[in-house]
Amino acid sequence: MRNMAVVTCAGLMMAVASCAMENAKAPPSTGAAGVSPVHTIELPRFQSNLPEGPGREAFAIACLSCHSTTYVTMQPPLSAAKWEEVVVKMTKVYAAPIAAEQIPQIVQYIMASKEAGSRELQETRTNTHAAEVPAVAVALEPAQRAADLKRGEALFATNCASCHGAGGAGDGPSAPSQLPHPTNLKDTRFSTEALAAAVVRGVPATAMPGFPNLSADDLRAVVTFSQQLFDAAAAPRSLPPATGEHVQAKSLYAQNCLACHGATGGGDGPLAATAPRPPANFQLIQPARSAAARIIADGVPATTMPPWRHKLDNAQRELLADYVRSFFQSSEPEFPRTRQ
Amino acid sequence: MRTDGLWSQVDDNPAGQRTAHEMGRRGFLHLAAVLGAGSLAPQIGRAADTPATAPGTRVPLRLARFPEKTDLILLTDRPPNLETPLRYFRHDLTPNDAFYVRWHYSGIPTSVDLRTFRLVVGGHVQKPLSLSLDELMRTFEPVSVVAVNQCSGNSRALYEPRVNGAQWGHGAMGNAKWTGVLLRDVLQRAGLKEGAIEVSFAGLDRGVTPDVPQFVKSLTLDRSMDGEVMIAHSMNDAPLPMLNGFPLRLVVPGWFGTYWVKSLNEITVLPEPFKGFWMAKAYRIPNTPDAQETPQLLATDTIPISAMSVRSVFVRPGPSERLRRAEPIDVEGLALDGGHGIRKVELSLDGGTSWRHAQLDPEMGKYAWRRWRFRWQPEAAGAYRLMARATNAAGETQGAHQWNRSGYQRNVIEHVDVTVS
Repeated sequence: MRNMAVVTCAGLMMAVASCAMENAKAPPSTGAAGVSPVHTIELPRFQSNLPEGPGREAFAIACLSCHSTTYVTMQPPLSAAKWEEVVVKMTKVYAAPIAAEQIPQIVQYIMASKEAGSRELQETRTNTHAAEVPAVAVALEPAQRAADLKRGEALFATNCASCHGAGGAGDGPSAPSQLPHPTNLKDTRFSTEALAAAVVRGVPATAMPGFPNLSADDLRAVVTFSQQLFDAAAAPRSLPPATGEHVQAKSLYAQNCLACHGATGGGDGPLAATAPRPPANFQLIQPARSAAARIIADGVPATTMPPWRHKLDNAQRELLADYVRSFFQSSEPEFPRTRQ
Repeated sequence: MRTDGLWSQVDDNPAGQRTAHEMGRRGFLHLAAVLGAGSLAPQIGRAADTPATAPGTRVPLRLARFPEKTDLILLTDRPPNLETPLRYFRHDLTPNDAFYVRWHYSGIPTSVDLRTFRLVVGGHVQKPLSLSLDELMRTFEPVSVVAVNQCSGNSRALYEPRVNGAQWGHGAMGNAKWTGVLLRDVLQRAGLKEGAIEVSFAGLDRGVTPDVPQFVKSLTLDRSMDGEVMIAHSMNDAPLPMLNGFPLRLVVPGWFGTYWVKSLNEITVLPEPFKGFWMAKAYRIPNTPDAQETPQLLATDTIPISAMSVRSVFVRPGPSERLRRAEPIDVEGLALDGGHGIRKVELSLDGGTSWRHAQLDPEMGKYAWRRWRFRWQPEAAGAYRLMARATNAAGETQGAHQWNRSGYQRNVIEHVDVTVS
């Protein structure tokens, strides 16, 4: 059992690594022999610094899925009426996911930010973390697991709780000021690989830093603890929808989600490389059913995930919630939550 | 005339705002000491004190280095809009890594597999084509043209009154040697059906959601078949940078850059006029001479933007550059138009009171820009306003005022203010 877990982890690690290599910069092709025919660039990732103020979240949800804040900050001073005209144009021409009642909030936020000085709404460059992620296998032997949980809890309290909250619900003292919000670790199932990668490398275009210098034991411990914050027993895995619905879900997904999340949910769609925060890889993470439905409806503020409630009705969003959950691939053993 | 690295950086910004970013700590302190209070120079980094609506004023600028590019002025990062610092215009051809970048949608192509990439030619044709890059290069006659690509909104930040949109200084343009095949030859191989009147062009870029209008431009059949419009695979004898449209882009010499569709992969011949958003609603100008209107009286009749107007810009001295009395300085700049050719560039050193001829460099081609220069030795200390006015072979020249609501097709006489001490 233990060996199988290790092999599975290693296998998935290699799959992730080869995806990373495909995205690595290749020399341009001139058609000459020996030159790679695949030409790839890697874009730098920028993160918005969104000053606090009324309308901040509305702005982050409505605008940043399509373009960054520089589209606002570079403008000369414009009147509120002019900004409203601009925002309305975004909805009418560019299908911006904004409800009519949100427009005044968004305009208010823009005006306040511009008045404070466009410097406030700047972007800072974040480095993609190129640290190598070691293979991690959570211990299955009870005594070792207990020790890891204890050590992991201590590490979590020191390093993670200020953002993620003591219980991992994404409600730590720093959380309210951060956009995107710190992940709620209780409502998403993370494979060991996904957690290890996030801890070691951080998450680009978010406030999640990388911890590339953790010892192997500490990494295993914090991954073990973080993983069990998701109550696996309380949220059984989703089965693929019934046949007729599956066809409809697949079609909805292809139209709306595939461009970023990829044909098999791997976060590797054609637009994925243009998203500063990588789109979720559903093969390695699985939101709880309610979390998936909520995120599809509301979007993820200050990321390229827009709210779909304006475009897709409740039934469509429910289908998609089931569909995206069906991509999860990990065959790791599951443990009930032992810590609150 | 200062020629060290500090000033070459300062030259890059026609808007006149400098930041500590651009010149480094030592340079910043030096410049602050030199300028002092009440000087003609713009305030540094104190946006609250400057008249922020004044033409050319931009938020403190930042340089960014994107893949296959050198440090360029960052207007936006997502999608990327990157402006060429002015000093690169001291060369006949704009280097590929300094060539400006402009995209509408954030779903830009970042990876192209030439094994599977195809240029599809279809619609109202006898025989649809699906051409690989290799096939395009091998089976069509190669052609080259030196042509300037200029963004429709180049210099928009200098508009008075200001308009919203990408806040370019003068750097949203570049002159390059484009190599490829004629659109005419490709269309002839596909064979035009009776009734074909227009051709539309689309590329690999996408919006985040499927509901946004895809970036598609069109040309009349006449323009498409004129033997000048080109499908280019190379820029200055190298493959197109990804950010400038690898592997193929349309080249429409003499017309604004909006038609030069990047990552071109779809050509569609049409039996009726194209009504897509990016022709029918966007990139429209007043149907008046010089695309002119006023905020109080907006034009009701608009047409799609097309040929470039005659205009000229200063490349040196940079704005607010400090010069020395009795020391010669090589004033230089460039002029361009829609393909008639530049007949003369006149220079004023006294704010427009008197004019003299600048010396024109040899022509690089009717669609290339024309560099010009003038050796000036200021006799007296003081503030000077230099102005440049180009006239093309068709007798068209620049005026003192030009405005439209979108900030397109700017062609006013430009000026640069310098101090001689």
